Amino acid sequence: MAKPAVRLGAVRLAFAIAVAIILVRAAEVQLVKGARYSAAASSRTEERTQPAARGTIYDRNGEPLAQSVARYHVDVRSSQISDSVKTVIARLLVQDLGISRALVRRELREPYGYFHGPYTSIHVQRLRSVPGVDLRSSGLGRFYPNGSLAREVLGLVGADGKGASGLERRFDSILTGIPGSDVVRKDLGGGVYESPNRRGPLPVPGHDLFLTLDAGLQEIVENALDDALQQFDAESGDVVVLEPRTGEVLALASRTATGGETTAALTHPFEPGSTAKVFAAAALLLGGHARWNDSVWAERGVWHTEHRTIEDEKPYGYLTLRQVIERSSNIGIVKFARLLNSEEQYLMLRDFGLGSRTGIEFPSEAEGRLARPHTWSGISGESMALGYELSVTPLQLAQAYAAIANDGVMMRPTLVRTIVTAEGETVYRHVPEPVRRVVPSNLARELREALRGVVFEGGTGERAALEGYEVAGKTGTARRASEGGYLDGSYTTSFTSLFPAVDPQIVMVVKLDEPKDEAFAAATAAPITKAVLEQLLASETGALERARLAANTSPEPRDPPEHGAVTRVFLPWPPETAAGSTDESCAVPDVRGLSLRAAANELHVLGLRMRSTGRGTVRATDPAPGTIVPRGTWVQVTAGDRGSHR
Amino acid sequence: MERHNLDKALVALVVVLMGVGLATLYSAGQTDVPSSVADIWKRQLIWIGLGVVGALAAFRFSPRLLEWVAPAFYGFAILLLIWTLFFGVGGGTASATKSWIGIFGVRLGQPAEVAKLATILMLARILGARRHPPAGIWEALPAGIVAGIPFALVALQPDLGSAIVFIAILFGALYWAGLKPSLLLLLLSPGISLLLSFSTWSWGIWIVCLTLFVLWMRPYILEGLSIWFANAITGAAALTLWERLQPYQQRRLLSFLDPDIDPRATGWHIIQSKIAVGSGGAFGVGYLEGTQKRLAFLPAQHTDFIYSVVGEELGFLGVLVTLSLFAAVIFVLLRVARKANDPFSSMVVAGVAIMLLTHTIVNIGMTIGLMPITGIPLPFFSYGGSFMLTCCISIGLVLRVSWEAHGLRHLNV
Repeated sequence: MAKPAVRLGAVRLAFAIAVAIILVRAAEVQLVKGARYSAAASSRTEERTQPAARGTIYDRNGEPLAQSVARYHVDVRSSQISDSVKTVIARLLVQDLGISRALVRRELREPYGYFHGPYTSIHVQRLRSVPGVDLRSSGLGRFYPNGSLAREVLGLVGADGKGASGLERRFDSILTGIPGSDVVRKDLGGGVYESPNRRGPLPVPGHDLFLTLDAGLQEIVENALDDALQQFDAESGDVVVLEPRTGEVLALASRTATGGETTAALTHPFEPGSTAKVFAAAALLLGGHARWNDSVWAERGVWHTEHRTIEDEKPYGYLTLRQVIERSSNIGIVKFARLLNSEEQYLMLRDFGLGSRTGIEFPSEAEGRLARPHTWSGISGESMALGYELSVTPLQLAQAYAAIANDGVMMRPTLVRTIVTAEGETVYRHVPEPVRRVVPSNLARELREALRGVVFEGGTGERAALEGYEVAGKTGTARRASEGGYLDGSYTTSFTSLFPAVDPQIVMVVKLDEPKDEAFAAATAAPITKAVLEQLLASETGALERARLAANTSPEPRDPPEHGAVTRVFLPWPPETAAGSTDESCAVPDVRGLSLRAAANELHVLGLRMRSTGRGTVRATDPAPGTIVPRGTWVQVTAGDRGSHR
Repeated sequence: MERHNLDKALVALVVVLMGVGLATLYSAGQTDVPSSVADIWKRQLIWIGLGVVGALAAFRFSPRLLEWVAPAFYGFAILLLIWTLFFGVGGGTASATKSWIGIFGVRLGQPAEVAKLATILMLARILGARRHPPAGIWEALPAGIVAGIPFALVALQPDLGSAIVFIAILFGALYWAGLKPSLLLLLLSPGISLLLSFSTWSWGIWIVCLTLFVLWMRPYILEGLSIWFANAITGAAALTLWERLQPYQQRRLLSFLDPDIDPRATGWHIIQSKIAVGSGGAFGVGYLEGTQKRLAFLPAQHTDFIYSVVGEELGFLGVLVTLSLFAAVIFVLLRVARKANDPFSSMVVAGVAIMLLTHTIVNIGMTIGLMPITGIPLPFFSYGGSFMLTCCISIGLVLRVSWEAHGLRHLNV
């Protein structure tokens, strides 16, 4: 028989062993297999990311264009509500959510009606207080308070919440907030419970974007464009409105005839046609090759060059450079352009921003096309003066004209004015950013003067003229090219305008592709400009500085013709005799003893081309005088000073 | 000069345990899924208050008076159990079991808990009165009857888990009274035979071992034979008995053996409890934060599985600390039993120790998959008025014994 002390010891030992077993087991369950059980338990909880509200995109005046709003699915517990309540719900579903009556009726017949949507918090507002309706959150979505206004510029947000196109994409990292997180618990029945003690960081909303766009003007522009597309049965059209002093884009719209919106104004280059004549004129004037009142013979409307036939819309006689621009004479500008060397012409076009991206904050901006001079063919210079063989986006065109409007300094166009955090702190403010001085300010002023003339009576932009205010601008009509070459009867018309003509506040490019009834810009793009400007003046938008406008209501008298100046007349080239001749060859004339200039005249009259070496009097030609050569042959002319002639 | 000392260590341990228990019960009410037990800790607080009053009253009770009153108390408890059997009501987490006494639909208490204390006192009286320890199985029979009656009555409720506690108390008391371990083993053998009868092979091996054991021990012939036959009968009758078990009892036993047999239904409780405890890891998921509990994956988190809440929210550290507290209480009780002035007092304290020990081991073992689900509460933790009252009064009695003890060195119970 064991003694009590032994028994006590035995009981203690047994108990200690039992406790030890439990502890070992607990250690096994909690420490060794703990991770596995934790994994099993973690299926009860879910770490949810709390989506951060994407920043709002506002127009320049704080009008919201794209907002993040909570979105909901709608559940209706049909079986638990009376018929009268059901009627109310059905009415709200049809009215507020725009669900079809048939679908509403069908879903409400089920014990649990479900409307996927998702519907924004604004739409479901009236359903909130109705019994039997459950709103289930479906995260945040993009809502456009102004409908489709500037939708393509704003771009789209993909299903993943990332910006897929447009500004949404370009500024994705800025608009995107920092998502928060929290832990929710899920019970057996699928119920979800918040877990206040294990809340993660709260979501930080993204930054807000204040655009340079003016919603009022944008709406005017979009509507005018839609009307014009319909009126002229055009395929598509673009409008860009720029503030020349800052480079801010006030409105930007691209539409197709089917009502689709595109970003063509930024992404699709076109051959500008006559609007590019101004650049050639600038090069001529800047290089000292011509003055405004220099004139050329405009061949009465049709001019057969050695390569092609150039026509004017109307038959003109002698035209000054100013008149060439005003009346958009193709013959005139080609004749003037022959005074330019390709390098000069190229540099001027390049300085006007052709062939390089403007650098606007937009993804996939096109750079257009401007070939380097060494790749040019013989007629490239002429073509470019006419606005062919190069392409620009409407924005690039607007930027170039804005340089003229801004006294010769080209500004980088921008779509964004400020970026503001959700707390209201401004983190970015756009500072007008000069790209370069393209032309001296006096030349810019002269170019503006010439553009004023376009809209005066007799100019091609006459139909853009406004009562009380003066518009300066330039029309452009270009034949559209396809892979096979230029298409007959298919045109791109454009009108680029400065408003008001004196002290311009906006530069507007209006472009229509393939207007069916009226092929010329004068009849299509110019009236749109007028319509936009009229509405702009009538509206209360802040896009215009009224005070500055008021100072310029009465049109300034145009610069008087430079009576004192010598009017130089350039010889028509090639002469009608040569151009009209069917004889394709001629004899090289004897130009020995003539000055180089005179020799060139002689040769050119016959349709020959001249290269020269030396200076002074011509001593020899190669081929020799009298040789029969095809027209267009290069004639090497060797000149020498009088000494050698002795 | 006798010096009476309050066992401050025991008081402190019990107070701490009650505090931790109440905090755990509060946590058990903090769920995401709406639960009826959210405010149950307030009711438990009332029971604790009543328990303290009960403990103070018990402390006033002289062991002599207690010994005298024990048969009456025992009889009263048995009557309550019989009453329960006929007029009992189900309730709480064991609604299929009619274990409650109710008057006009108001549940008053669970007589099984009171019966435990009554049985402890009665066993203490009959075993403590003996001059020598029971020399054989027949001499232990009265004690067996004393424990067997409440066992049978509770098992018939049916509440097998609680009934088994009476067997544990019986064996503990017999051992403390000095019964030889080999005799205890013989007494226990029919139960082992019952358990092993699920397979012919295991039972066959057992019966051979038992035979050899009986031959080696050489007990009285009659005893040896009756034990051997008891084993044979229980082994043979196992299948019948098994079929007589309530389906939930069968499932509980089966799912204890392999919880993954049917994880959605019978093994559910064990699996969820193990996930809860296991996910606690070393330091727990944080007080009030247990997801198993919050989302109602944990069954009966305020009663049977309250320790899973400890394991989940306080981790292994919490298990270590609480288990140490329980162990400390048990060791203190055993020390008191050891130094008690008289056999009766010592038996009472030992009985209380065995009761608390059984509840603790079985309940905690259950939550970590060591024991089958028996549905017996964890002392000072589980919600339940009757058991809280029983525990408090028991501790009160132990404190009285401890207070009276004056270092009787050679207790010969």
